[in-house]
Amino acid sequence: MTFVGFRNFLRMFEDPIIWQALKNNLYFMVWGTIIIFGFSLFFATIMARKKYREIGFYRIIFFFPNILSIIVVGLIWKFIYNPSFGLLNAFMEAIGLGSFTKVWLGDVSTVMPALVVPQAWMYIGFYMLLLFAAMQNIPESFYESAKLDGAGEFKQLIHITIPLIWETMRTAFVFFVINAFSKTFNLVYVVTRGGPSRSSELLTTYLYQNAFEFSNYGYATAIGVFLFIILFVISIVVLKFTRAEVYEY
Amino acid sequence: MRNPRTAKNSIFDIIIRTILLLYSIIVIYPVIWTVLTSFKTNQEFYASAWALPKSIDFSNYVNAWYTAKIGAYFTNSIIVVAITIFVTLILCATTSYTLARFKFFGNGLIGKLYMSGLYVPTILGIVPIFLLLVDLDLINKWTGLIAIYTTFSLPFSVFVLIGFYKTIPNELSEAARIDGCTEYGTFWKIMFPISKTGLVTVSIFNYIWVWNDYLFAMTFISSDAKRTLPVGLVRLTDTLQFKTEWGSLFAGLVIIMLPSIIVYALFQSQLTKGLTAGGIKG
Repeated sequence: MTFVGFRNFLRMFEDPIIWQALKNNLYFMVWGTIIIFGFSLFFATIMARKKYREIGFYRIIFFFPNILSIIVVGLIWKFIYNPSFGLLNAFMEAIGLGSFTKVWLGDVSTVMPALVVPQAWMYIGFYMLLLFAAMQNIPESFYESAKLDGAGEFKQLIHITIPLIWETMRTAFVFFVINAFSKTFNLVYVVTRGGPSRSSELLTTYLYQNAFEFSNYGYATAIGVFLFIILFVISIVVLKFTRAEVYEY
Repeated sequence: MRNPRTAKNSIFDIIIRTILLLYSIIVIYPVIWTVLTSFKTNQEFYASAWALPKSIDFSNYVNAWYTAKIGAYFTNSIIVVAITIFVTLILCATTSYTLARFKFFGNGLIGKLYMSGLYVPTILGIVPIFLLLVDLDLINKWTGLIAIYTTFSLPFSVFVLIGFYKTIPNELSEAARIDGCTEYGTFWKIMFPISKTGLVTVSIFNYIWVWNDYLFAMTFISSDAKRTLPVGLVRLTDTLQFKTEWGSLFAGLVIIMLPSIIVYALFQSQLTKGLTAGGIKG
């Protein structure tokens, strides 16, 4: 190894794959946030507010994918998307959408959405549980007085639940952002290897390829530093812009 | 008191309960499908994705376990996981007990250093760790892999156990000291057994991540005989799909899932409580 100054960083800014990979990382982050936090907030609210008999069972089921290896999740979904024996195309044919079947993972236009789905499938239960635990600390009396004032379920969510669990949501969100950059590696590496033609390449998969396929440790580490800076900046920005008054209760 | 809006709520309730049911099917059906498919022969496999297997045939499992060497990978994984959990237990129990109950210079800083490990994505460390293991001649050895697993298990384990040891009343250790127990005696005879719940919780978490880990095992182990189950399984996918022996692959997936499903069934409430008690409140 020889010292090359900033050469690796300069090379990085001229490398189109880096920008493609960054775009894909951000795609995972943005769509993952919308889908995962949308669903987990919805489910957590139901679990905290409704007293259905079966609710405990659903809590166990929804969390279940989190105990599986992301490798297992990736392989199962790879099989679900398989064009010759997969569940998805079979399901679409069964409900009369046969003309829309696709080679989901082999098509540049569908590969990224197809990869966000397993990510959401795995993690919704985890964030649901975190938000649910925070919601359980909210005193019942808050909701009762809101009901007396005529506030419906949705208003209660916006004006009571979300402000009171805001701190947990922020922490969970930063945690998610870090995970959206690091844990997606396994998923993409096992399911598509960044393909087809680098359309699902991530900074992490590109880092790995440079280090362990091309033995280009310097360039790989430069990508790692770049990734770290991005994560750091995003976390700071998120924490700054979501700061709100903390309600004591 | 009756809710005046019962009628409106019940339609609302039906919709919500349907959504819950549909989502639980989305979560659980892919897993059931994997189990069902693992019993199918190759002809059945291509015939229909929905059909049930005609008979419960374990030949896919036999093939996976012996021919595809899943059995050997399984044993490797068990050994690596067991040693990691054991070493982590000893290290994290002693570390968190000291950090939680003794005041000394640098106590806070050491605690923070451990915690900072929670926020570093593992992939960022992969190249430096790899080069370090090469330098230490620990590459392609279980010793190296276990050392790294233990290191990465410590931040979360210490974090959970510090919270645990802080809640144990001082009177207990004082009483032990009065009865003539040494510091080591107090720890091993009283504190270690008393923190059993916490120790079980961290062990379950460590089991889950080490059993499931792919990144470290793939990078640090190169010889086939030492491979752990997740890496072995991915390798199989790469080779078997050209031989179209899909059945063994599905059987392999079931084999890797089974221990985790058992652990989840046994310790489900402990796992979710441990997670929500402080999981990510750093």
